[in-house]
Amino acid sequence: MDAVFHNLLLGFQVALAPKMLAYGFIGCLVGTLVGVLPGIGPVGAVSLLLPVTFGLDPTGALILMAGIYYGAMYGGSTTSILMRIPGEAASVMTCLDGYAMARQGRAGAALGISAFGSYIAGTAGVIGLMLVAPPLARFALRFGPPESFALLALALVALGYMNSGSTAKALAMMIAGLMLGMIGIDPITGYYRFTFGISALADGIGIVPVAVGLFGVAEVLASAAQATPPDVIRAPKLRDLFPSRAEWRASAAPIGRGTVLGFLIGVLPGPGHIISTFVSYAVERKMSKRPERFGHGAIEGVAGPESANNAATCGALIPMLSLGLPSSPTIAVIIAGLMIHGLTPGPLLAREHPDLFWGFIASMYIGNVMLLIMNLPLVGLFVNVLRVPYGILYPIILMFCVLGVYADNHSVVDVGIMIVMGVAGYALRAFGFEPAPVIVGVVLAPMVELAFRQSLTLSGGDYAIFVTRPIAAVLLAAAAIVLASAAISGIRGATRAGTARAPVEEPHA
Amino acid sequence: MGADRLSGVGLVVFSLVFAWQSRQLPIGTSDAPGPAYVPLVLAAALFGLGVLVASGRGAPVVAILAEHREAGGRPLAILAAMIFTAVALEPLGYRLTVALFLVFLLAVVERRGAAPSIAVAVALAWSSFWLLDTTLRVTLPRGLLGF
Repeated sequence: MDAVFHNLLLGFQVALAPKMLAYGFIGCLVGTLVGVLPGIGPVGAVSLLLPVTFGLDPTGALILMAGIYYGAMYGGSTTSILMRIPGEAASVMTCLDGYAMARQGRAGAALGISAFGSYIAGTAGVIGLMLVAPPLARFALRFGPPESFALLALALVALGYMNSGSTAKALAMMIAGLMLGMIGIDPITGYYRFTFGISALADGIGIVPVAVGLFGVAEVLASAAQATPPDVIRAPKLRDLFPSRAEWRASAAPIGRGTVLGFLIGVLPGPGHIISTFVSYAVERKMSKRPERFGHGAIEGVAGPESANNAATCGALIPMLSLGLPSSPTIAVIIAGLMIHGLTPGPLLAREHPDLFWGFIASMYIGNVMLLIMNLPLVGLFVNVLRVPYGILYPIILMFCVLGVYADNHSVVDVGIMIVMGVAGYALRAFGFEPAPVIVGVVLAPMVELAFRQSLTLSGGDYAIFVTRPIAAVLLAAAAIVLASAAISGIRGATRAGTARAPVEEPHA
Repeated sequence: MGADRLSGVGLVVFSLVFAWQSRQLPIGTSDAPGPAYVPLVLAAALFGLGVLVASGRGAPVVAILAEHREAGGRPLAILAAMIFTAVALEPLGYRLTVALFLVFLLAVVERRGAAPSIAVAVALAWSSFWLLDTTLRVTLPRGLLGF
């Protein structure tokens, strides 16, 4: 432990140098501003600004890239709360209750708890990164294709079960999402699947057009379908920007749970920062004494996912720093940036370049403080958006939807997909389906399929591989228990509904 | 007819269409699953869930449709404007398309007055282009006329 604190001291000496502070500040600021733009998520932000780092020294480059990364994660929640446009997939769950809070005049509290929750989770994540990086990274290495598939199956089933409405409907939406995720070139054989001759679909359906369509466009269509348009929201006063004592009490546990969940999920390969938000939201809804508030402005629905995605950002850095493995596309871009500077991230990085490794860790502490200080005044600025009458605001929202989706991939087909998803989201709402599971499916589809097919190839077609490997067997058993309990509660619910209906139906018989 | 019944039938049809499309691809074997293997498993699962959803009742479809019919043509006008944007974005360019899109929604659908609508539309289209294309180097389409 002494060595850790000695190294951390060294890190702070590096990170507190005026030049490094400036890089951290610029990274956080640019990341936040770019993250606010829908469609340009952390990958886009880091990729766009990667060439800027070429002229810097390696430590400065890493601090700048990391600042952009978690600044973009931070900024993504703003449009979700104010406009119901998820800046990227990790902000989807924030849309649900954050936007509902904004419509109730509590945008300040939503943005405030998002900023504080992100700060707390980010700081706790850095401590976790510092203390438990090597053992967690070794555990993550034990996940082969069968374990990954079992974990994904558990996540899918659990998320379906923890949904507020019908489990069957949620699972159906998730499978529909998985099916959409199958579109494009098959990663193993190279076959074109379900592309209908449209070459732009070869890369598959992007998460951004699906998320922006199902949430942003569908929300505008649903509001337009109302006889009276939504009211202009009163912009909150400065004191309202801070969550009240009751809101803090309600958010404390979700922030804690979101931090732990996000950190652990972030370590595993895949889009941990996205999955962690879905898991955190589902857990909070399930644990709540009044789950019916979720989707209608429950602050726990903002606090949990926002903390989870920031903690996952730290978790995702563990495989990169200790093993040199990218756990997400953004991390892959950061690794590429480091390699351009002649550095190879991995187990030797901390030993050979302690100033860079620990300077980076220390810069994350400082970066989290910077983000909090920077974001609280910006909250006051952003909520003014709500003063704009809805008749003027929604065309601007749609413009940002088009802009964000096009900018993500430079594809007009993506804009078309967004429109189709907007109509689908509108119809799904009318028929009592939740759109969020569709996004879970689209996000996880490539991983689920690859893990499943690789497992079968590995075992020579023997399905027993999923139950003979201990980690996979435990995870699948847990999935089976969740599925069985969903079926039992469904049957009980149907029986209760039948009993309650019986006396009413008798007179008509 | 109940909404659940109709949506359940919709899911069943979607699963069948998906399975039908999968027939063009090799299924493979269990030791070397082909590109149609997982899609067919998913289609079968969705078929089952569709049947399950269809066994529920839900609100009458007629009531849902009536509720949405009251809104008139506003959602349809928005949808038409969005389709125009998708079609015109590359030939007309980002700035011109977005400006026309905003003018249509603000002046025609929302009746906010022609002059302020045009001013707002042009300002937003040009400033967002400047921010993304000029400053952040995210290439946006310029169209045949250079807009």
